[in-house]
Parts: sequence; C-alpha cells; structure tokens
Amino acid sequence: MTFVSFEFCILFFPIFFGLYFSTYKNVKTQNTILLIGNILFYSSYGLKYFFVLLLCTTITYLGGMLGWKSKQNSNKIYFASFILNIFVLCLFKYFNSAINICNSIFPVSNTISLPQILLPTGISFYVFQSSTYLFDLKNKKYDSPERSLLDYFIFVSFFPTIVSGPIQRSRDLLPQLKKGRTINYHELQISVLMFLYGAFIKYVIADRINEFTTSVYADIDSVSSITLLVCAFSYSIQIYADFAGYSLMAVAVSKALGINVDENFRQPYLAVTIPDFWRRWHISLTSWLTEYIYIPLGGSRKGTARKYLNIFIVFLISGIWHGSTLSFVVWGGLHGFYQIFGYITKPIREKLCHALRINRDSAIYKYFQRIIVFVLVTISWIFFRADNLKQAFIFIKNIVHLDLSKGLIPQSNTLWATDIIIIIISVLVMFAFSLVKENVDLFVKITTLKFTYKVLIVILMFFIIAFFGYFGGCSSSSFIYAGF
Amino acid sequence: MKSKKIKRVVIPIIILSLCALSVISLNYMLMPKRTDGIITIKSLYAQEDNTIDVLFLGSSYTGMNIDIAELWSEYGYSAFNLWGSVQPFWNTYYFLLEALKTQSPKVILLDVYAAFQSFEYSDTARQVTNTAGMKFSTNKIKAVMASTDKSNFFNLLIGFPLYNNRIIELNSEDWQYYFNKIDLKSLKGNSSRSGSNEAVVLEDVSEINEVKHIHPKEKEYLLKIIQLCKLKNIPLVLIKTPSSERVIEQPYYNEVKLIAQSNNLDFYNLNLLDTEIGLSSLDFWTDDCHLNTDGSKKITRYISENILSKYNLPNHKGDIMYSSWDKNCLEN
Repeated sequence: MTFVSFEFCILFFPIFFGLYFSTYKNVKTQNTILLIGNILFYSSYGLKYFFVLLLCTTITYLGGMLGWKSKQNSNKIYFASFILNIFVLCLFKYFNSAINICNSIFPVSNTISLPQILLPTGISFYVFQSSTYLFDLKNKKYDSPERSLLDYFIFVSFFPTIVSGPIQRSRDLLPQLKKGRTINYHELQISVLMFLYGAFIKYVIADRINEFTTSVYADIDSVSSITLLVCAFSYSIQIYADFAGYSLMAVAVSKALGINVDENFRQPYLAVTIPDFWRRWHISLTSWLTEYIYIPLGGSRKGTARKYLNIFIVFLISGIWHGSTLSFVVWGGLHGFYQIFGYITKPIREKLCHALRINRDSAIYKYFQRIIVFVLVTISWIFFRADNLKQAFIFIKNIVHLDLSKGLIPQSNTLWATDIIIIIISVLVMFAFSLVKENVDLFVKITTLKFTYKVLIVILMFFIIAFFGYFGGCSSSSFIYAGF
Repeated sequence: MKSKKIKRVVIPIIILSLCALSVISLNYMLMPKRTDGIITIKSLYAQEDNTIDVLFLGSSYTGMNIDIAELWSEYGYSAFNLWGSVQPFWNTYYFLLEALKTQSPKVILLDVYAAFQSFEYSDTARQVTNTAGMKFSTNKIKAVMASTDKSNFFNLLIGFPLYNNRIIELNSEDWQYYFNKIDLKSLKGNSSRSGSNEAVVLEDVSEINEVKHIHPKEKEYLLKIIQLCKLKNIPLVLIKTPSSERVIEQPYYNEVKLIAQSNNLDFYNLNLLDTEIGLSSLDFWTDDCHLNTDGSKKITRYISENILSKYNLPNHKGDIMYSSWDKNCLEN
C-alpha cells in the first residue's frame, strides 16, 4: 500500500487516524494502535517479510538489553548485535548478487544454484534505523535502555518511514512515544500541504519522466546522443522528485500523527559543492553514515590522507547500501572521488578565482557552481540508474560519440507532446518552489494565509494531482496503441 | 474550544472528501469512450430486457468480423455483439454474466480467439477496456480480480487512476456521452472498417493436427462459460471467425475442438472454410488480421445460413419493440 492509493487514503488512514487520536489520553493504547497500524501497513507488502522485521527488532532490542546489563562486555555485545543485524541485511540484499559473481568467476560446471531469496521491503532502512539504538546505547545517549518492547517495536516498524525513510535515530523518535499525541491543527495544515506537494512532485513529475527514461534505458543503442543527454538530465530530476516526494509524504504523515520527523531533502540541486549536495540529499542517511561510520573511523581528525580514505569508505558503503550491483558501488565511489578531488583542488580553485578577480560570493558564481555540481551528480546518476556497469559505460560512450544519426524518440516511448508540456511546467514550478524554500519555509508561510486561500490552494493541488498524476502506468497513448 | 478544534479537523476532511467525490463523479466523463469493450457493455445495459436473441461474444474477431446490421436487415435477427479488445475468456465470462441479468438469448456464439492467448493478465489498457464499462457489482469486482494483480486492483476497480490524464484530451464525444446525448440503445456492438490489405496471406491449416494446450486460466474460464450456458439452458456455439495468423493459432483451436467434442458443442473453425465462404480474395481484409465491411458481411451471411438457421430464430422486423435495430441499421 502506497501513500497515494485507495487502500491508504480511503480504507486505512481515516480509520487509523480516528482510532489513534481518540485514544490520546492513554499512551499505551495509542501506541498499541500505532503498532497495529505499522503491522497492517507493512504486511500489505507481504506478510512473509514481517518476520524479518521482527527478527531485526529482536536482535537489536535484546542486544541493547544484554549490552547494558553487561558492564565489561557491553561494547562487544553492541557490536555483535550490530553485525548480526547487518548480516540479516546482507543475507537478503546481497546473497543473490554474491552467488552471481561467484558463478561468473568459477567454471560453468561448478556453478552454484541460486536460491530464491526475496528482498523484504524497507530492509535497508529499518536495519540502519534499528542499529542507531545500539550505537546510541554505546555512546551513552541514554540513561537506560528502552524497557518497553512495544515502544521499541513501534520505533523500528514506524509505518510512515519504514519503506523509504527518512532513517530515524532512536533517541529522536522513542521519546516522542512516551506521551500522548493530540491533534495539532497547525501541524495538520502543514502536513496536508507537505503531503500534497510531495504527491505532486512524485506523481506528476517523477512518474511521468519515468516513462521516458525507462524507454531510453531499454534501448540505449537505438537513440541519438541528444536523447541520451536529455535522458540523463531527466533522470536527475526524476530521482529527486520521486525520492524527495515520497520522503515529504512520509514526513507529512508522521507530522499528522503528532510525531516529528526531520526532512530528508533540502533543495539538493541548489548545492554549490558536492559536500553541500550531501548535506541536502538524503540527509538522514548522510548523517547516519557520518555519525556511525565516518566519525568512528576517525573522521578528519587523523590527518588528510586518512580523511580522504574515510570519505571514500563512507561513500563506497553508501553505494553498497543503495544496491547490490557494481554500478551502485561505482556510483558511491564516484561521489567519494568527487569530494576528495574537490578538497585537493580547493586551494588551486581559490587561487584561480583570486587571479581572475572572480567574486566567489556573487550570485552568478554560485549558479555556475550549481551547474557544475548538477552535471557531476547527473554523471553519477547514470551509474545509479543503469542495470549494470556495462550499460552505464555504453550510455556514456554513446553520449560522447555525439551520434546524431539515430532516432530522437525511443521506440517504446509512451509520452505525448502534452506530457512534455506538463513536465516542463511542473519542473519549473518545482524549481521556483525550491528557490523560495531556500529562504522561507513555504509550508509554514501558507498556513498564515486566510482560510479561504488555504482551502483554494489545497483544492487546486488536489485536482492537479488527481488529473495530472501518473497512476497505474496506463498512459493516454496506451489506448491508441491498444487498437482492436 | 472543543467545538472549534473539531471544526478545524472536520472541515478539511469534508473539503477533501468533496474533492474526492467530485473526481469520482467525473469518472464517466474521463473514461475512454472505447467501442471495443467499454461502450459495448454500456450499450448492452441500455437494451430493452429480453430482446437479444443472438449474442456474440469474444474479441475484435467477433466485433469486426460479424455484421449485426446485416443480420437484422437480411433476416430480422436481433443480435448483439458483446466484445472487447483482445478479450480473454475471463472478461468474456463476466460480460456474459452481466448480459444474462437482463437478457435471455436463444443462442450464444463465442469466438475462441482467446484460446490462443497466453498471458496471465492483459496489458493495462485492455484491462480497462474490458472492465471499466461494467456497472459496479460483484461481477465487476470478480472481473477486476481476474483481470489484474493485487497491486492494481483498486486502480482498475475505480478506473479513474488509470485514465485520469484524459482530462487534457476531452472532446465533444466525451461530453455527449456524459450528458446522455448518444443513444446507447441503438448501438449493438458493431465495428467494421473499409479498405483492403494486400499483405494478408491466407494459408491452408487443414493439415495441422498438432494440439497445443490452452493457457490454464483461459481454459478455466472457457469451461465456466460452457457450464454457465448449460446451466441456463442456452445453446452455445463455439466459432473461430477468419483470422490471418492461422498457422500458429491452429494447434490451440485443435484443443478447442476436443473441448467442444467432450461437451457436445458445435465448433465452427471458419479458417478452414475460405473457399466455401469465398474469402480467399484479399479484398476482404482491412488490416493484417481483421475483415473489412465486405468480408464481415460474407461471414455473417455464412453464419446466419449455416449456423443460426438451426435455431428457429424469429424475424422481428416491423416489431416496434425492436426499433433500435432499425436505427442501428440506418447508422451503419
């Protein structure tokens, strides 16, 4: 069940919302209802995956309890529990890829047969999320471990964020479960606006662009270099609109339930450097990796060479976390390389700007930096999107060869001219919104308007999503091609 | 204070609910006005009760190869073509259930092209054309369940999420249908095309004896259709109207023949009767698989004289209750 679906909007959430807030006077009852909601939501993705979620919850909860009780071996127990938790992730996410790699290395006669290990929904997120509890205990962020298994299970299985984040820290979410949550009208208004904007960028922009990028990636050898270039930049917009849109909806739903979850994206394509990009993109993952991998490795405290190594390791881990194929590892490694290269060349660039009398604080220079960052990130997204490393290199090679003799429109394209117009207008709206939001929290600002204007904005956004959103994958052209 | 709090929550919920309801009410306006399924079933609902004597079922091979107007003008038969684009047997079964709510046909002819199909689910567009026109009922729910996977169930049941983007394509036809300006009663599922196609090659398949198994899901619903007709005591005739891809299809029709034999049903494979029908000429094909208007007239006459003549069908010409067939003739 997704946030914008009949099951969620009409069946699940209204009933859940009513029951949840009707029990605000009794925290335990309210939390029980929240847990039931979590289980029902997650089970819609497949009941069999629920047991993996239960396993990770048990590992980290028991690890926390045992580690706290054992004064001498606490760190070892926390570490062992963390490794066990990560092992569960590796088993489900990387086992099949590892077998494939082995089979490609070993002779045909010795190939290992591939068991069908399905990937549980959200496992990458809830394994990292539950691991924060062990780290927080180790770092003495708590006076005592979480006593309530109910609350802990809610934290790990929190339905708004379990599928695609943002990744929550236990020390941020668990305390919010200790008191009853009541309806806050102001927060509810913000959550409605956030939800609608998130749905707008995901369903009107991302899912529509996806039709185009999918058709190009399905046949990269048959389209011209211009098409590939347009596809690359389109994918940059698509992945932002998709991920940020879903994250925003998750934050909005959490907020509606009276639980604060930090935003996961902060206008990332307005970043002026690659490190700045990562302070704006998938913020929860960046901060997780920084706090739990980068800093324990030494961060920047052990010399420049070690700093660069630590950055590279962190981004390799980020790549592996995102996917099990080599192209994800290359994507992560590329970002590590960008950062390191940026640091190394920083003095040279500063000297160059000084020599050329370029004002590095000027708006023009900042836009120049933003374009450079956008191009670098777009190149890395080619590896992220490609089915494998080979396809990514062919994609880049076909762009560089500047072959204009091939067709501009991919064979399996289903977008019409009107779709292109919708995309352009929507992306411009998204860009304008991002520019304004850099300085003003627009969601909060809109809540200060008169009631009539707020209602009109909500109705307008609702109808835009209803009529221009892409649901169910049936484009207008499908009916033309679906002739008799 | 409490009432203010309640108002602050209730009013937005009411507003959003009204928005949702207004979107749902536009469902019919946005629905693609496809005559290959959606309008076909809607025009069936518009027919007077118990006026259809001959019911044709199937895919576009029924829709385009059978000329309803010809049956009326030449023989006075009140026939209806209840078909859908690339319609699998499960959609045909639920279309039939809907038809039998208000109609008691004297004979049903089922084109068995679906026996050749091997998908678990049609493509999304055909899922829409074969279900969206159905009235909301348990049959529709079951039809949708059979037509799509779990993840798309509600989208297909509501329909709107799958064709919402048509808002930018609305034309005068949509408005006419929405405000009931089109006389659905005079529509009988006709759909024919003119033109000829010289690329069609008709091969002799009479020597192909290989039997290939029909997809289990198609077979399940074919047998359900057969059982339903037996239960309702309605004669069922299996036919295969002429198609051009007959070589690869024939092994599946050989299994249909076995099913027909085991259920004491007649099966007419018109792919084997080109010469008899007079369809060898390439002038009778509009595209690479369907007959044009002339071709469909030929087939229809053959079906009428060799199949329908066995069922003592009344001639309703002149009967005012069947005037919609006169109107249909004039429009076609």
